[in-house]
Amino acid sequence: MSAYILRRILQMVLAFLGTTLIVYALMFEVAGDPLLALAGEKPISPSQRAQLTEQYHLDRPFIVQYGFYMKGLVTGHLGRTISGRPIADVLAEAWPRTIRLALLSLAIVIILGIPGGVFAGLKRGGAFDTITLTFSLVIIGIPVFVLGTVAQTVFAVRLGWFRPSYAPELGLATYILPAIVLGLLSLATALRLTRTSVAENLRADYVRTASAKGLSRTRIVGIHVLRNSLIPVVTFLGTELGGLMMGAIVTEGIFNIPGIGGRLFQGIRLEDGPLVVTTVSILVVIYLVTNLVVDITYAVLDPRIRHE
Amino acid sequence: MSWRSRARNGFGAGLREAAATVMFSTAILTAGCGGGSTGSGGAGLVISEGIAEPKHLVPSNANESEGAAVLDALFTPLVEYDSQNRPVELAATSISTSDNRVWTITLKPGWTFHNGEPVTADSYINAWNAGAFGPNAHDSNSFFDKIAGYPDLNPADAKTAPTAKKLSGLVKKDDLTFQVTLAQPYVNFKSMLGYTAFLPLPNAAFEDVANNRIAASFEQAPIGQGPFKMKGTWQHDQLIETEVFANYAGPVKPKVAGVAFKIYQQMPTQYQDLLAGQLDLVKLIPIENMSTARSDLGDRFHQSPSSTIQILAFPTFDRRYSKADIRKAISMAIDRDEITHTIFLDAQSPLRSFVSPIVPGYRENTCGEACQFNPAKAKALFEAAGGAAAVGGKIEIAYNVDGGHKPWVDATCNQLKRNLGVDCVGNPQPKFAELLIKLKKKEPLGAFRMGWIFDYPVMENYLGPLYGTNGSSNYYGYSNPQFDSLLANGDKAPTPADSVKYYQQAEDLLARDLPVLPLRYMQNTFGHSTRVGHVSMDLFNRIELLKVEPATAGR
Repeated sequence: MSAYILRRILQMVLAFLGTTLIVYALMFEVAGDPLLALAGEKPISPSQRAQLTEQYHLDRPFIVQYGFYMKGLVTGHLGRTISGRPIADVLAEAWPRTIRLALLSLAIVIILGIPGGVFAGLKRGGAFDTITLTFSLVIIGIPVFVLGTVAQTVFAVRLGWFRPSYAPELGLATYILPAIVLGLLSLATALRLTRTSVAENLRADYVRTASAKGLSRTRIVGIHVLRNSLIPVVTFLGTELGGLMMGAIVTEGIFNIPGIGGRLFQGIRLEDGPLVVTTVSILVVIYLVTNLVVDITYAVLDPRIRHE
Repeated sequence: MSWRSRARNGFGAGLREAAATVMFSTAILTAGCGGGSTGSGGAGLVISEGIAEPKHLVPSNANESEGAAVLDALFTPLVEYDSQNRPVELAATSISTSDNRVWTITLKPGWTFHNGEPVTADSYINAWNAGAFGPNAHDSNSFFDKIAGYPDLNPADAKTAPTAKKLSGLVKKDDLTFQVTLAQPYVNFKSMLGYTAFLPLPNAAFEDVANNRIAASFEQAPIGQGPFKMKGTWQHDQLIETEVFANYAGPVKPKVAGVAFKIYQQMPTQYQDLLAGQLDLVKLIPIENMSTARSDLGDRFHQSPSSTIQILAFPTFDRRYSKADIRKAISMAIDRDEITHTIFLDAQSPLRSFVSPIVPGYRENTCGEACQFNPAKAKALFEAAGGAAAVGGKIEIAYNVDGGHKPWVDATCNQLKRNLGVDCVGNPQPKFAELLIKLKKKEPLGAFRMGWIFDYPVMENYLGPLYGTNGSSNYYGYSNPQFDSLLANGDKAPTPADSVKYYQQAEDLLARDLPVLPLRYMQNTFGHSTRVGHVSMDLFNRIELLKVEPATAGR
């Protein structure tokens, strides 16, 4: 098992290097003139252009710029954003907020999605099942920015239950509405997935055997059915954590949460290569880590799966 | 938009009642706070204003509206502007000159920075030298290029050191007096001094005054001499808090206890916060909300003309548009009123001159017949000048997609198709910067859109940079020696009033040559909460914080 984990971690290092190179190359190709992007529609003075070009090595070829970036990364200097702030500071402030939002969202998905899905699966065709089906279809059909703005208008502006925008003084409470909006799509999927999985397993041979043995219904559902039904759901939730963080880009914008999404958006707009590459690379690492965790969880849920 | 109107109709009256209750309880809370902290009515009110994350908070490095809004609270400029937008001394007792080349600036005595340092001639000289010093690469560096000695601080090659560290044109006379020598006489220099770039800096701002080095930490909590001082430091992407500066020496004192600048990523969120009573001042209501803003806000919705103009430019290297009659026909086929009304919902107004209505010397309709909507005449003129074949079969309008320009470009194209009988397409570019790069390479983009915000309220600021042969933003390559000499004469004129006569003659040349078509000027479209009143905007699209008052009870 530990050899397996070690191998996976080594693979992650390789994946990380590859991603930085690819994203850096893409940003380099896309970026026409970061200094003009920074200045907006105002002209930039020749002496300022000369100074900034020198500071950010903008006149060097791609591989040299990438070399400067990697050198900084290895020595712990992530460099500065094109407007002059240390990237490390920017990310250190932004990441915890995005992680909080994504985890809260995931918690909402798990707390509502799994019991709801199990219940719907047990009472297939019942009222609850029909309602959640309709709900899921509606949610899946609406883009998240519409969902976010409607939720903001109705629950924050009109009803006043929440603040329309991020308010750090409220602590975790300020993330509730954005987390619900962010999690709704995953919630709908988790509900459907759990429901189908449970419904399928209820018809499995081992359930009939268990019933024949005289096990209680609670034990059959709670231990046997649930454990077997959760495998696809866990896969989904694991990859979804990464997805939630990326989905947060839209949600953070609507609710003005100063997280990673806003920084990424800003970086792309200003053609700020180092900021975008660092942010995306960290997203990739999170994706890889959650995938590893999912794979390990498999073994715990289903002892037949063993990692050599 | 449709989902929004659905939501509105669907929820109706019941919710409005709920909203009223919320507002009522907010009002009680606010009154409680105000009374508690000072005991004198609403004077304890801290108001909030929405901004985007500023790029920098050093005066000579803040060339965008967000940083300028914050610095306007923390600093007071040398001049303010009267009702005709002419400069009047504010932090100075006199700004005088006999030849428009050597200017003597005398400061008002008794002013101090927030940290207790007195404001002296050195505060200005040091700040301006740092701003003009090439290696600092400040955004407003070019504002100092009129001052003698500027080239010595700004070598063309970044790898060579500047030959001087101080502007030779800045000379201290005594503690409160300094002399500014310009390279060329410039009659409107006084008008420039209200701009953010010309604010002073305390010694505390510098790590090394001799080398023009400003401490990196300074902009985290800038120290000014203005009506408000920093409360804590700049909380990036979140908040910048200020409170009243008790020793503020200016003639008008703030009527509120402080201003909290709340930083937003998107403008619609600001507007939602305004509606929910979480934000007091919104300086630009987004176009998405314009259709409902008037009814949402009632008498808390305001508009005032701004300095921003939008024009349609024709690159001179593009032969297709080289005939003035083709450009005139295009101009006459555009119904400016229809576009400002239906596309911009009156957040912009038709422009038929080459300068914004807010600068001294503006005259209505200098563009003449060319900017009057006249489809029949436009069509006749277009056909006489060669018709569709002359423009290569279709008219192209290039624009940057990140600025929300698609709707009006499409509308303009539809008007041209209808009125001139020629095909017209928009030519989307990812960013304005990309558009400029293609222009530089002389790629045939077609006509292209452009916007302009003035730096200081002088006609010349719309003419020199945009149409002068060496103008910094003359991306289309217009060059007319007669125009250049009129501008130069204007700059050398003995008084601002005399200079305007030359500038107006120069503007008349533009009307004849039509290198660009004036399209629209922006309206400041702003709103405020029920907690405040007397909200107005200044020339630089900033809310005049010194005029804002707590709303009188009973509203």
